[in-house]
Amino acid sequence: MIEALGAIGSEVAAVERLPRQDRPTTVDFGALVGSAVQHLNEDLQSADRTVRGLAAGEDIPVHQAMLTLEQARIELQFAVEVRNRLLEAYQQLTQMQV
Amino acid sequence: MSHENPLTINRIGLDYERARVEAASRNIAQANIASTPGTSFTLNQATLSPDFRVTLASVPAGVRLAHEPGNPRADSQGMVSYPRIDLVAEMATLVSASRAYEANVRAFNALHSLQLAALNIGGRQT
Repeated sequence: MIEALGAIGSEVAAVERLPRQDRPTTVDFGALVGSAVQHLNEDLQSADRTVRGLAAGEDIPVHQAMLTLEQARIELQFAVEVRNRLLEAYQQLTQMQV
Repeated sequence: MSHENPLTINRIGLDYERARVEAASRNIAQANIASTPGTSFTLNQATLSPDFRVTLASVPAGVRLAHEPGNPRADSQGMVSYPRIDLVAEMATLVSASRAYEANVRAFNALHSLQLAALNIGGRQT
């Protein structure tokens, strides 16, 4: 089994010879999801603030409010899609016959 | 703020067209307000700076004198002054700006539906 992996040894060596910025970097997946959720939360809060401001009679152009709302909607939709894909992958793993 | 983001570009377009409508409305609103001769008038004009900042600028306007002795603001010769405002041009600005605003909304909607469609890539067909 381990010997079979030896075949990719030359690939690994090739990756290590790459200049630094071309190397695939390892990123903590949890941190990635965390920062994405943080970003989503900020967008949702900014949409909320804009609508509150509009309702309170502040001088905010209506298109500004609509654009912020739509931006937040796309972000949320994106987050939901990512969650769907992850959950699907997880379920496929848990249902795998070993 | 990044100007690469199409949503930002759209927002600048909407801001600018709204400013044009606002400037034209202000000009129309002050077209028939009489003043004592000698006062200076300003016209409103929406401007877009090279760094995409929308501002309402004031430019000096010409003066139109009229003989209205009954007007409380008339001077000793019975003359009052009005700002020289081309109503036809202002109406044209109003119409073209509101059409351009609608075009910006269309462009945003197209982009928006593209983004929503992109989220369906690889999704389960239902």
